[in-house]
Amino acid sequence: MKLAAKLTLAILLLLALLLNLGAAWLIGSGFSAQLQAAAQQNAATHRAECYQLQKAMIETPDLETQPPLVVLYGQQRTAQAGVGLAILSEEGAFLYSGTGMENGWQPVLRAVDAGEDGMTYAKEGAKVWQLFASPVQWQGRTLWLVSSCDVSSVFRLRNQQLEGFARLELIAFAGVALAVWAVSRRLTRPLKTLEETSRAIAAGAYDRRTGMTGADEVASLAASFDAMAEAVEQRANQLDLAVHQREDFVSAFTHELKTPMTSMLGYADLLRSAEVKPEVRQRAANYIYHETKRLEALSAKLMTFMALDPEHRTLELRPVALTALAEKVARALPSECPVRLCWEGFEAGRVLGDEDLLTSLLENLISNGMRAEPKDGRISITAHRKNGQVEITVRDRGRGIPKKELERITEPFYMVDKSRARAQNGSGFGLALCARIARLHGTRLEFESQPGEGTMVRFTLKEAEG
Amino acid sequence: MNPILIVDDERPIAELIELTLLQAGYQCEIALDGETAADKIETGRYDLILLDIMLPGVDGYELMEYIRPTGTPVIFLTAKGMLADRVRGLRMGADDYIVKPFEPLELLARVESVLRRAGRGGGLLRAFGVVVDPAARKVEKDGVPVALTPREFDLLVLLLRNQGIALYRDVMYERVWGGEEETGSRTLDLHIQRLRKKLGLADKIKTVYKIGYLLEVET
Repeated sequence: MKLAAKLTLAILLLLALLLNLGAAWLIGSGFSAQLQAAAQQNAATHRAECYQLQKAMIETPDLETQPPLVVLYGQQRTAQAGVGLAILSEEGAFLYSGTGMENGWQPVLRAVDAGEDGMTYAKEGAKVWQLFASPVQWQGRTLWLVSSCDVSSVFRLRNQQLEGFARLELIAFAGVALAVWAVSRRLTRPLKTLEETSRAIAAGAYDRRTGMTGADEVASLAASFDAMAEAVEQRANQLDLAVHQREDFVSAFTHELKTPMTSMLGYADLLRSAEVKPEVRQRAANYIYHETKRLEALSAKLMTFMALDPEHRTLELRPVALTALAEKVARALPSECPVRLCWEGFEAGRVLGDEDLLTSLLENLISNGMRAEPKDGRISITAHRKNGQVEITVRDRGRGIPKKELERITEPFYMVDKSRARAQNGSGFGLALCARIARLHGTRLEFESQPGEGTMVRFTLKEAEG
Repeated sequence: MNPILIVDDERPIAELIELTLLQAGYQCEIALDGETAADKIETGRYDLILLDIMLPGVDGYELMEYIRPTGTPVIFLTAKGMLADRVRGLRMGADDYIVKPFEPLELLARVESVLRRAGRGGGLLRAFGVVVDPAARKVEKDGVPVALTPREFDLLVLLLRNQGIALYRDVMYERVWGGEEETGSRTLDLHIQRLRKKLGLADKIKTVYKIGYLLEVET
């Protein structure tokens, strides 16, 4: 059941209970009191009548044996006192009956049975009487006097009050029901907004918020809800991004794999099925060889790349002397270097890192610089110490990289100039590898480049103590 | 007959396709990047274009805009093999779609099929008055239909697709009979005999010592 309905029902029930109990008590006690007062007054009237009858008995001896006289007396008294009477003989025979009731026999007899101090009620239709019965005695003679007093008005009043109350109760119910309904609807409207928003979010619209403000509990719930939705949206975006990246990676990788395979397959098939001309044979064998080398290079880089996954690997950072690093890198590069390497700042100092990986990193960066064919035939590698950190920069005056490619160059398989890269067995992995190595060292590669002017790569390492 | 244009940025693959097509008697031209391809499409006339979708710089799909007005049939080549990509390719107006890596012979069969569908009398293999429709499996010599058994037909097609090339016996065997029978040589020789006789090509289908057979190129 809806909250509004529940609330309304509960309040109405309570109201009904309270009102009815209250009315019952109020009207009831008023009624009793009135009846009581009437009874007292009627009792007094009855006593007065008894007294009168006694007087009559004194004045008229043997009154009880002369019914007509009794009747006369009775009629006189009824007319005068305005009260209903019934007079019975000692044996219980009706001598006069003017109670005002239609069938007064039974009630009168009952009243007599009830005795002197009793009061009985008689009801006929809408009328109610209080009956008092007392024996009136004089000199051994007894007559029973029964007074019947009409108390219908008290009952009528009570009924009117009840009716009035019932009407009042109905109006009160209607009014309260409406009021409670309206108020609870108002209070639960924010809840509806909350529900709609959560449904929209569940359906995928992660950017929805309730946007509710206020000081009450519902508003604070809404604020918490919005915070939660924000967290969910971010997580969803993260996951989306991760999935995209993975898809891109697989897609590019498959392509890099399938392309050499097509050549290898095709030329091998050619060679085995037909006796081709020597120069064709030579060309075929050549291509098979080179494509295989290409696959080999790709495979090696991929293995290294996977092994350096920052998610699953933490490095043990050790102190590495800059001089040792520079020497190692110089040795790793091919002996016939088309460019001159200018080292600066590597004479002293130590950084925290993995020596082999750092060697790889620098080697890769320098190779890239070489491939960019610097105009002045030089590549400068500088190490700058500052505030417990060492900033290393590799700079060349080569081809440069266009701005819009800059943010993508560290993506796996991304090649700015495909044909040139292919010619050197490149597959777009070098910088992706470098980026990972940087990340494992807790740093990032920063690139600056101007097409035609040159490129600069920069990263920062922690200085080793001592 | 106009040449076939091969557009692929991988030189080894482009040359492989060229070799395969040349052996089957087709003339070819190669374009290694989008710009060259666009130029050639604009200025040249081709019976068919083999197009690599993943070209650096120019999107293969973009080139379709140039090609469509010419009405030249197109076969897409690519490493992307997902159903969605195939559908997209075909929707873009390609006549067929080949996924790398492919066997050159498969490419050849597709080329023939597309050329045939394009009309223009393409997709047929010809030599010395013999005209073969590989898809419909019909052979005519000087306009007269010739009845060949399925194996004879396949063998003839193999020879026509490698004109001027000496084919190795066991590979011929593998290609036509799928390597079913054990002792191959006799069957192969018999079939060659029958082809020579039925098509009057006794002096064109040459036996190559220690290697196999060769169908001469028609000059």
